[in-house]
Amino acid sequence: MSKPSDLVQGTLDLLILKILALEPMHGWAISQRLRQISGDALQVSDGSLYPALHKLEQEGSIKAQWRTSDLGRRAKFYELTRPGRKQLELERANWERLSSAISAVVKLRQA
Amino acid sequence: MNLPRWIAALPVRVRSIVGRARAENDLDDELSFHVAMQARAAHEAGTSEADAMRRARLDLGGVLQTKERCRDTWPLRWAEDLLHDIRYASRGLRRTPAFSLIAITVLALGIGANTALFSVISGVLLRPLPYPDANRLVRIWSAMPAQGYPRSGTALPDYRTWRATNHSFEEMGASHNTVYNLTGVDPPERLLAARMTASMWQVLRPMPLLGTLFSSDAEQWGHHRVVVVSEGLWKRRFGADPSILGRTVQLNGQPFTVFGVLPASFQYPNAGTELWTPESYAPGDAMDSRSNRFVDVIGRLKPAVTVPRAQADLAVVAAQIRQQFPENAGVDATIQSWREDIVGGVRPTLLLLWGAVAMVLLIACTNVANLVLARSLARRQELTIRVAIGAGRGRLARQLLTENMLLASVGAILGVGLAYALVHSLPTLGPIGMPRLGEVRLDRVPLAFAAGLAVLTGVGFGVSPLRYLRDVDLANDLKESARSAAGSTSQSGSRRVLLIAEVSLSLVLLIGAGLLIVSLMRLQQIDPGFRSDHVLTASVNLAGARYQKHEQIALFVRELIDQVAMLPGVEAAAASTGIPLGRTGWGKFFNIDGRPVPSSLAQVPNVEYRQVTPAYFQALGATVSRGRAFTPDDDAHRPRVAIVNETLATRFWPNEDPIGSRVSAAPPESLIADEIAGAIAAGQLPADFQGVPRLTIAGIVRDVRERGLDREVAPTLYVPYAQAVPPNEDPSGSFFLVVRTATDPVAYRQPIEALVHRLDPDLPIANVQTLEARVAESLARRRFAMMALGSFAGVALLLVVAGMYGVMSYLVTQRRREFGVRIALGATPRDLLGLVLSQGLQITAIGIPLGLLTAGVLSQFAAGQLFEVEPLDPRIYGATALVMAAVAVAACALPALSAARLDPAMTLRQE
Repeated sequence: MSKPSDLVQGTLDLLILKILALEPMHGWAISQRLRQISGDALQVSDGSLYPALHKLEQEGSIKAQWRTSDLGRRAKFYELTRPGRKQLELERANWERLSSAISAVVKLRQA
Repeated sequence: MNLPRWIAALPVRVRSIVGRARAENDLDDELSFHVAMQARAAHEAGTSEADAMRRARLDLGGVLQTKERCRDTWPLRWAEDLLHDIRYASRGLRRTPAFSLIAITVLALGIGANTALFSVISGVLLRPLPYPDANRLVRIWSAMPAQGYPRSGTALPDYRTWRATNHSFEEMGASHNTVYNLTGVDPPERLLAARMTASMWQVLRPMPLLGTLFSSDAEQWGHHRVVVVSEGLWKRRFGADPSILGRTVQLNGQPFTVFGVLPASFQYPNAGTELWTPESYAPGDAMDSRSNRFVDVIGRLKPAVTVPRAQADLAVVAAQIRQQFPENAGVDATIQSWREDIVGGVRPTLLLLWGAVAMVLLIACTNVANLVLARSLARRQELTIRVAIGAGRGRLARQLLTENMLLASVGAILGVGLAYALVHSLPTLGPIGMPRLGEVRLDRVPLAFAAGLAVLTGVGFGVSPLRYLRDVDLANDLKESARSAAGSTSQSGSRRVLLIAEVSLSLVLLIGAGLLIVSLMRLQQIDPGFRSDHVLTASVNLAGARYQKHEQIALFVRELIDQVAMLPGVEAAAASTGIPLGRTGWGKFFNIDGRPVPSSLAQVPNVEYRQVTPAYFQALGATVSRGRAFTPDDDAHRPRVAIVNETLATRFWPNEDPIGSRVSAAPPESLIADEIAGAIAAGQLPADFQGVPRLTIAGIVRDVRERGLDREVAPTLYVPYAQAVPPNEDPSGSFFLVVRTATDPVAYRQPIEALVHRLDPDLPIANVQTLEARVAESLARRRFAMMALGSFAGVALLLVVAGMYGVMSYLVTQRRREFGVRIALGATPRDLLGLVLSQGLQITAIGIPLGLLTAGVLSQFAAGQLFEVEPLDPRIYGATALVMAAVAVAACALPALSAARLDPAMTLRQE
């Protein structure tokens, strides 16, 4: 299997924010969803995911709520805050700019 | 845009700080939930439960590490880490109490001594004088360089002209020190006082505790009987009664109205001043003329005016005065920053001591660094294991550093306590010859200094084991047997280098102390020209209505001396206007008959002038080397005589015998013809005034070192008190009593005071001190420097001994196996002794020459402190080198002996 692409920390933030924009979920669900959507191409090590989640929480982009899960344990559900939504927009715009710039360079034809 | 986000984050952040335990719990729950979900998913996909759990944990990449990384995102992470590190460090230090105690003590000594000295430096040298805007205050002197007075008091008319015509000063004030007898009360008291112009209040700007300060109206004669008293006097003699304002007190028998009270913090011109009265003279009084230069002038510069500019300004004014008034020929003005004037003299001593105490700190740190190195070696195993299981080296380094900073901090705190005790014991040390000591305090600046030292030392000796961390060799160090191998050659090398540094620095301190000790010894061996043992001195000031006529003064002096001389056990009693270390001076022009008249007043020489009673030289123990001393026969009816000291004799009669020459204590008449005419016209001189009376030189006295043992002797002219009569001289009402006794002079204080009281109940007597005490006071600063440096050297030596002993014992332990093998192969105990000793001698052999070299270089800077000692005196250098070598050998002795007594069987068996 090809090595999953390394993700820069900032991009991970963008992915988490986007996923949480759709619905609140807990950490394990986020990692599953990431794998699902990207078809296993994006494998975020769970050891990076949780620190990222905590960092976003400390920054105020997401907030957490504890609910009981079907396992009988309590689980920490994260959801976007309003400033978080703004943050998401900013990050997404940045990403668009960056990726179109890269595409433009890559598509350059030989003169 | 970040603001709302930050606000939204606030509750979370606060909770992370305040409810740390809860946050830990939550984190645990969150991650175990994740592991459980992962396990269930794996289990559903087919793996066994146990396998699934294991896999889930592995996937999580180490729950512990993930937890750490999550914690890293929490706020105040560094604080939590620091607390944790500190707790861990203190546990580690408590496990090795001997090491910790020694290290902390050594550091406390070093930091404490440095902080104490820095407090002194801060209070004396750095802090501005205790007046508002003190850095604009300057001292202004008159200068007569051609006559040998680079600085002198100022004449009041000169001061007024300076004040009126300068462009550089906001305000100027003049004052002079005086004494008043507080009379009309029992007991009468002699009080130090200052007469000031009212403008001085504007210069110094004190805030009175009560009442007001007098204005320039009070300088008018007739309105001048007002006084401001000190808080101390107010409390002591007037019961702190607020109604003192407007009351009158009797000073010198005259009533003075009290205008105000100044707080104890105002100490101009010096700490003992208790009265301030206006500078005021009756019209025509010669004190308010250009022939009497005795006031001190302080000026407050205008903002942005520099001293050089003001100096140039005043030079112009002085030149104008010289043009207008020929009696000011050769008189100039000179300015110095007031603070510099007060503390400039003591700066070299303080800096010398600071350099020395810094060396002590260096030695202390070297010692502790050695200890720390030894300790880190013992912990090698522990550190290696921690690195093996994944501890970050950065984190380990931080922990080691925290440990050392903890040591340094505790040492610093104890050191500050020591410094506090030292600073507060300063006043009890007796005179140490330093100005502004009362202002020395352990406040913000020295405390910050101590904190800085703590950080520096902590980092300084904390870095050494860190270097070792880099070289951790996992495989090798985990093996037990590696412990005894010299995988520590680099370690023992560093320790030896540190020890060499200690030896050389200690030697420098020893040499410094030796130089100062010999200086003081040489100083005390100087022939002062008098014998200071068994002499009691006191100062008397005759003032008031009873002593207006010169006959009254002369009578009192004669009676007092006669009666004191009759006390049992008194060998000689005398009065003099100036005594050794009396810190007074009286200069007069000097003229020799039959010599060419100088071209102007500026060229007329000046000499010191003293009125003395006949027994003076005998009471002092001074030797009249040629001619004769004064006798009671030298009175007003006999020919006038004088005695000169050897300095005067050799200066003015280099190849002849001065005895029999005729001199006068005044300029040649031709140069002051106008003044004489004016005095005749004013009735101060008789119309048939022939000229200033001539004195015949009757004897030469061996130099009396009045200004101090290490100061130059001024040419001095002595005249008999009884012959000091008008027209050109008056007997001085301010004089010193000098009494030589057969037994303890202090016992005569009471009888003499009683005598004076009988003669005049309103007359106090002051400054009762033995001559020995005066001499000791003059040496106080040198003695203090010597004792301080001596104790530093002593401490340093102790540290070297301890350090040497420690390192040598360690080295012996290191080589135990090797020694065992040597013994087994036939070495004798003496061989082993020699081996160990040679290691110690190696260290000394490098350290001593290094120390000698350093001392040689540094002592050049301290040459000003020495007295008749060369900075490179070979005897001192040689002696101290021997001492150091002996000490080093002694310190090595015990470890060497223990090596010699090794049982080979035991050492070889130990693994």
